[in-house]
Formats: sequence, structure tokens, C-alpha cells
Amino acid sequence: MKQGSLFALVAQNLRRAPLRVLLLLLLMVAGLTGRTLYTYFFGQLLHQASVAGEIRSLPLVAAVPEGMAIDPILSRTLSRQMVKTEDLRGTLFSAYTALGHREILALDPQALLTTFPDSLELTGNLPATPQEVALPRAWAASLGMELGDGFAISTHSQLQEWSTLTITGLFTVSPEAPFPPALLERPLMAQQQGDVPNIVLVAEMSQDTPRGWRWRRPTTPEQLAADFNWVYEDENPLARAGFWAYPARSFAISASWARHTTDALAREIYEGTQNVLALGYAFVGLGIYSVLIIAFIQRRREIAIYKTVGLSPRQLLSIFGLEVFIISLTAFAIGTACILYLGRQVAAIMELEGTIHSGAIFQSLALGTALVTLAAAVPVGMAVTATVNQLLHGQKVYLFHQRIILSTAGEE
Amino acid sequence: MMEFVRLGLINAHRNLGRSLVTVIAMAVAGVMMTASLSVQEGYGADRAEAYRGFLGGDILIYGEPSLLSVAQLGEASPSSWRWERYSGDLLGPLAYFHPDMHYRGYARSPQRSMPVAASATELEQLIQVVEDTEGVSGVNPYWVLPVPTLHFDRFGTPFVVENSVLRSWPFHDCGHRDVMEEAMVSGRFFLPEDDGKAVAVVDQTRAHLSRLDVENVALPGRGEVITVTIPRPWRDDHGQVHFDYTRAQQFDLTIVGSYALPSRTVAWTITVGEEEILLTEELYFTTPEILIPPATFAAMVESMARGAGDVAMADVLSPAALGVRVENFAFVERLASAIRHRLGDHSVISVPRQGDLANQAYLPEPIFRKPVEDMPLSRQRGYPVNVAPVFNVVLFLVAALIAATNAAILVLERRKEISILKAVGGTEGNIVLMVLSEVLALSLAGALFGFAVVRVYATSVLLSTQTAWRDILAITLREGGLVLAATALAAGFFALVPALSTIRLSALEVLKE
Repeated sequence: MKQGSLFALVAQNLRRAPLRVLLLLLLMVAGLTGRTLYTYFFGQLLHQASVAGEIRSLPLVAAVPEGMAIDPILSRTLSRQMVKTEDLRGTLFSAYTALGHREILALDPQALLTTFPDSLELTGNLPATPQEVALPRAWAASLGMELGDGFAISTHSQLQEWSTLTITGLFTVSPEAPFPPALLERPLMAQQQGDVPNIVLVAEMSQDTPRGWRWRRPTTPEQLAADFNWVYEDENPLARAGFWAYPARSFAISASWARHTTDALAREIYEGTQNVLALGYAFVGLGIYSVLIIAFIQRRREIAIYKTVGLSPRQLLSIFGLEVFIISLTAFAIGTACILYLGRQVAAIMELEGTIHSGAIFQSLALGTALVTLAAAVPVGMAVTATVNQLLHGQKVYLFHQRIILSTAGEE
Repeated sequence: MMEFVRLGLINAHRNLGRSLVTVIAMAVAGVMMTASLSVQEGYGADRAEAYRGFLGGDILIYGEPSLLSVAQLGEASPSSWRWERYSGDLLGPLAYFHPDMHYRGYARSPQRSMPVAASATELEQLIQVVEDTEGVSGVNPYWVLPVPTLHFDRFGTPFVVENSVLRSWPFHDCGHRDVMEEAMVSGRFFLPEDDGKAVAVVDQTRAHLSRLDVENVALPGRGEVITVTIPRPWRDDHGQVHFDYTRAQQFDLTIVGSYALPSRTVAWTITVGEEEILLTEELYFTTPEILIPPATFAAMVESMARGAGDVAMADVLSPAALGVRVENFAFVERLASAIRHRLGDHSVISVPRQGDLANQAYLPEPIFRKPVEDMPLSRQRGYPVNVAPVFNVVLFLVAALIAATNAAILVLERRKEISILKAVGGTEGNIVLMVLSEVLALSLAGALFGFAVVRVYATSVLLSTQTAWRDILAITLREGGLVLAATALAAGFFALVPALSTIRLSALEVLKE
């Protein structure tokens, strides 16, 4: 059979069964559109929603428990990742105050101002001696304190040995500060001898890749933060003491921590919808299978005639395969148009920017192709393998095996 | 007309293979829908009993965003999400079930307030809203105070225990008092006449923590007098609660008993030679809490409150959480969902689910013997949206599609039979009725089977929570009606297509073929 005749036959078959073509188109468009819109576009919108609140942050902010030195953990992390940093180190410790059992940060105030200029909106001065303290304005307001007042702290659990620090400065963390406000919104003290640095604020990081390692990808801040936690946990395995073990934990966050967190939360919140999507696919696949199997039953005589006039199984496969392919191609075109239109509408409602990457559409196309192939395999296979007798007399069609008659003398 | 219905049923029996496919598909749909209606609504009476008994409620309400819902995630606005690290005193259930929020931080929208309630009035309103929810039998605020140190003398030797928590035990209004009474290992639990007295009950298992190098404490025992140092609680102008350690006070309490609360059992296998041996370990819910009667707690707080005059406890202190007791534990998830919708800003979670989330991170209990290699950290969680209704609808559509496909094949294969029926006087309506009756009979049979399987289990759960038979029957009829109605609707609608296609069949044309 000539190729031109093949296409003409396929076109004629499709014209003769508009309802079947329409049903298949609807199912395929629904599957393609639904999957693309949900998996990529919706996920992108959630991502944008979380990015809308992304904090600006240093490459890395990390701390280990009070009393433990951060230097060994940090050195090992930086060495593993081949990274050099410019950073500021301090001591984060807990003390009893009039506002509760709170963390206090002791660091070099001049280094803070030099490394992170304009990060604080300061009234007064940062502490220069261990007897001085700068308080967040919110704290001072809650306590009714002003510059020059005394702020009492005790690091003794039995609430003995109180130190009264003079408030030399009141500050608010600037919105432009490169670190999370929660990190610095605590009393600031000057470091003193004997303080063990257990917190680091990394201002800049640069890759220190030796010769021969040029192929290595640059370390991201997220990797650095994750590696820091891993190194710490490797040297300090989490004790099996339930929540009692948590005071001995480290923390490390990077600039995109908030975005990753809200991404993870969004995925967890919407995890059940994956099941619905999978079921939707089952519906689409089952629908395609149903339409094609019914078409096979309705076209038995037609298929029998094709076989009678000498069409080979390969030619039959071409005819039916081409029918499904043309419908699929049309569905892809319509589905893409629907995705682009609906996507913009949904984005407009959510007041976000809607961009569909072509990769997303083609990935959905690949999945859709697999689904259609699976759904069409049985009906098309039956059409190709059935004999004329089976088709004309309504006998069972065996896809994978056939009855074999061993003898014509009435024996099998 | 009934003849044609009978014919449809006979046809269903004759094509057993195809009929079975429809029945199974509808049975699966029936199972899933019934499970979402019945099983996912709650639990048997003994689920998470230890946690519920200790926490004083079946549902917990936090002010902090330990569990974000889809509504809270949608609070997207510029700079809406911030990294926060709980730098103050973290007390109560959140410290036991979500300790990571304190040590590693969490994401928070600045618009949300942190305490459960920012004032006494707000707390009263919050409790009223929760109590007005149908199915709620009571609300127990989880009142706690930090105790940096407690002292006691034993045979002239002073002992100090650090980092404890003082808690008001709601024994007037707690439905699980028996849990604590059974957990007592020495002395006694509180009696009604203890309210207002300076008595306390402590956790004996805290002493075991020395085996894990967490702390090495000698604990006070029955009859001993402890002196607890408590900071003064106060609220700032924004309603935030603080603890003033510069004005701490000391109170004496007499220990009347100590408890050890077993909460769950973990199991693991070891291989000895060629034999696998199953080992178990009973875990104990070990907390730093010192339990005291509610009136005693309130008197302590009010005596420390700043200024003179009549100060109520809620004016200076916010509960760490609210424990909500429900009338029927078999519907606790439904109630938690209802409360979550009513409150919006708060994190609401049932105690069993809270326990499950924590247990995944090997919280809250210490584990002494079971080997644990990979311990995931606890973290802030998102509360999954309820997709059950949509899932059920799609599942029924899938099942109905299977039923309709079978019906279509049935019609195609029996065209001659249908044409003969028309020739001998069968009307189009009769033929449609025959096809529909076959499909509906199979679908309803499958759905009924699926419903029955799940319903038996759900009924056992209801019986364990002492639900009245009258209520069980009402629930069964209601849910059964829903499942069968959904089945009939879906199957009937989808089966219409093949059923109506028989109208086009003409006896003459078919018999000619």
C-alpha cells in the first residue's frame, strides 16, 4: 500500500468517527493540560509566593552549642568544600534576664560595623567593654529602659552572681541588613577574654579550587550550610534522648533558607494532590483505552476486510498508529494553547508572573505519549493480531498466544 | 418492566468475568470513600492514651506556627516570611514535640502573634470559640512556668536540679486522670482536696537520663520538700509573655508521689547465629515537669504578679498550649479540622497525629536500648490539605468509567439479542432499563461490599469509644446512603451512554448482518 493511500485512508477513518476523535482529543488535552499546569506551573506559583518573602541573608550563619568552639567544625567544612571565607565570629550564650532566659551575642563591635556597615540603626554606641550592652529597641521599650540604665544578667542557673551592664546603645536591625533580624535582635556585648566563639556570620565566600579540580562545581551557600550541619552531626551524633538531646544541636542557615523551607512546606501541604493527579492520569488512560477498545469492536468487519485484501500486520499497525498519532498531535497543539491561556489567567488571579518553560510542556508530552501508548497498545495489538475468523465470528482474540492445532485428523 | 430488570441481572450473572471487573472497581471506590468518611475521622479509644492523659487533652492548640496550614502559607506578601529562632523559654508540648523550632529555627509570618492569647480577654474568647465547637467537651489551658533550679535536702546534703518546669495539672477537668494514677510508682496522685495545697508530683524517669549522658540528677522523692525558684511572669504592651528572672521567688512544695509514664513500645530484631530474635523496649514520656494543683499554681502566679490589686493569672501569663477534650475520640480528626478552620492563626493538631509526627523523628521519649542509626531531625511541618473529597470523586469516575466500558462492550456484543428483544415487542425504554439495571446492580453490589468491609472496622473503633448503638446505626445509614448514592449517580450517568446507544439499534439492520 502506498504511503499516500495510507494517509488518505487514515484521514477518511478519522472523518467518519467525529465523536470518537473528539472524545480522544478531550481526554488527551485534559491529561496534558492538567499535568503541566499542576506539576510545573502550580509549583512555580507556590515557589514565587515563597520567594516574595525571601530574606536577604549572608551566605552562611552557623552556630554550635554554648561552650563549644565553632572553629574545628567550620574549618573542616570549609576544607571539604574548598571554600575561603571572610567572616565574623562571636559567642552566643544564654543568660537569665528580666525578659526571660535569653540568648546574648558577644562579638567585636567594631568588626561588626566594619564588616556589615549600615546593618544596625543605632542610637548611642555599641558596647566597648564587657560591662556594657546594646539592647534591641523592642527589648528596651518592653522593659521601660533607656540609654544609661542598667540591664541585669546572670549566667548562673541558681540566679546568683548578677552583672549589671550599662546600656550604651539601642538599635534596630536595618531592613537592609544581610542577615535575618532574628539573629541580631538580642543584647549585644563586647567579647571578653575566655569567650569561646561558637557562632559565625560569613560575609563573603570564595571558592578555593586547587589545580586539577577546575571541573568542580562551585559550592553554593545551601551546600555549605548543609555540610556544616553534617560535619557537626558526624562528630556529635544526635543522642537518643528525645527532645532532651536538642540543646546540643547546631544550626546553619543560608540565604535561601526561608525559600527552601516554604517550598518544602508547600510540597508537604499539597502532597495529597499527587495522588489525585495520578488518579486523574488513570482516568485519562482508562478513557483512551475504553474509546479504542470500543472502536475495535465496532470496526471488526472493517479490520477483517483490510486483512482480506492483503494488508500486512505492519500496515495495519501503521494505520491505527497513525490515527492515534494524529489525534495526539492535535491534542498537544490544543493542550499547549490551553496551558498558555489558562496559566496566564491563574497567574493573574494569584497576582504573580506566569511563565511556562518549554521543558515543562515537553516533559508532560513525554509522559502523555507513554500513557497513550500504554492505553492504545492492547486495542491496536488486538486489531493487528486478530484473524479474519476471529473478527467476523466474534471469537476471542489472543494477544500473546494462539491455539495451535497439531493435527488435522481430529486430534490435538 | 420487571422482566427486563430480571434480564439485566441474568446477563450480569452470565458474563461473570466482566461483571467481576465492575464489582471490584466499585468496591475499591466504596472502600476509599468509606475510609475517608469513617476511618480518617478519628481513632480507637486507646490511641495515644499516654500522651492524651499527660497533656490533658485530645487536641492541642499552639500559638506558634509549628504546623502550617494552606491558609497560613497563603499569607504571601513582600517580606512575609522570616527566619525566627525561639530564643526565649520554650515550654510545654512544643518543647517536647517540636524542639527543633527552638534550636534550628522556623519560618514565620510577622503578622502572626506568638502567644496562644495576647491577653486574658483574648484567652477567654479563644476558649469560648473552641468550647462552642460541637463535639468539644472541655478546654484545658497548659499552664507552665520555668524553674531554673529546685533545691532539696536529703539527710543534710543539699541537692540542686536545674531546668525544670512547673505545671498546673488540670485534675478537675481531665478525662484521663486514670492514666496518671496508673503511672504512679510511689506515693499517690492528686486528690480533690489537694487543690490549693503546696503539693507536687514528679517524674521519676528523669533520673534515667544519666544513662544517655544528658544529665545526672538526684530527684526528690515522696515526702521530701523541694524549694522551687520561679521567675515572675509579666506581659508587655504587645501581649508577649516574659519571665523576669531578676525578681524570682521561691516556693516550697511537698512531693506526694512520683510517676513513670510508659507511652509506647518500639521493637527491633537482632540476628544471633541463624536466628532472628525480636526485642522490644518500652519508652517512657520523660519531661522536666513538676505537676502541682491548679489553684496552687494560680496562687503562686498571682502572688508574683506585678503591682497590687486583683490580678488574674491570665493577665500575666499565657498558656503554652490549649488541650481540648472531645466527646467522642472516634471523631477527633474531624473536630481538629473544624477548630482549625475556626481559629485560622493557631496551629491545631490532634494528639495522635502530633505523636506520629514526633515519633518519626524519634521524639519525644529517650530511647535507651533500641539501636538507632539514622535519626531525622524534627522540623516545622505543613498540614496536608484534605484532598479526600476530590480523590473520592475521581476514584468514582474511574470506577464508573470501567462500568460504562463494560456496558458498552456488553451492548456491542449482544446487538443481536437486543434486536430480537425489540422485534418481539421490547420498547427502547425497556432495553435501556435492562442495560442500566445490570450496570447499577453490579456497581451497587461492589460499593456495598467495599462499604461493609470498612464499616466493620470503623464500627469497632466506635464501639471502643463507647458510642451508643443508636448513633452507630445513624452513622452507618448516613454514610452508607452517601456511598450508594455516589455510586448510583456515577455509574448511572456513565452507563447512560452505552444504554442510550441501544436506541439506535434497529432489529432489521442487525439481523441482516
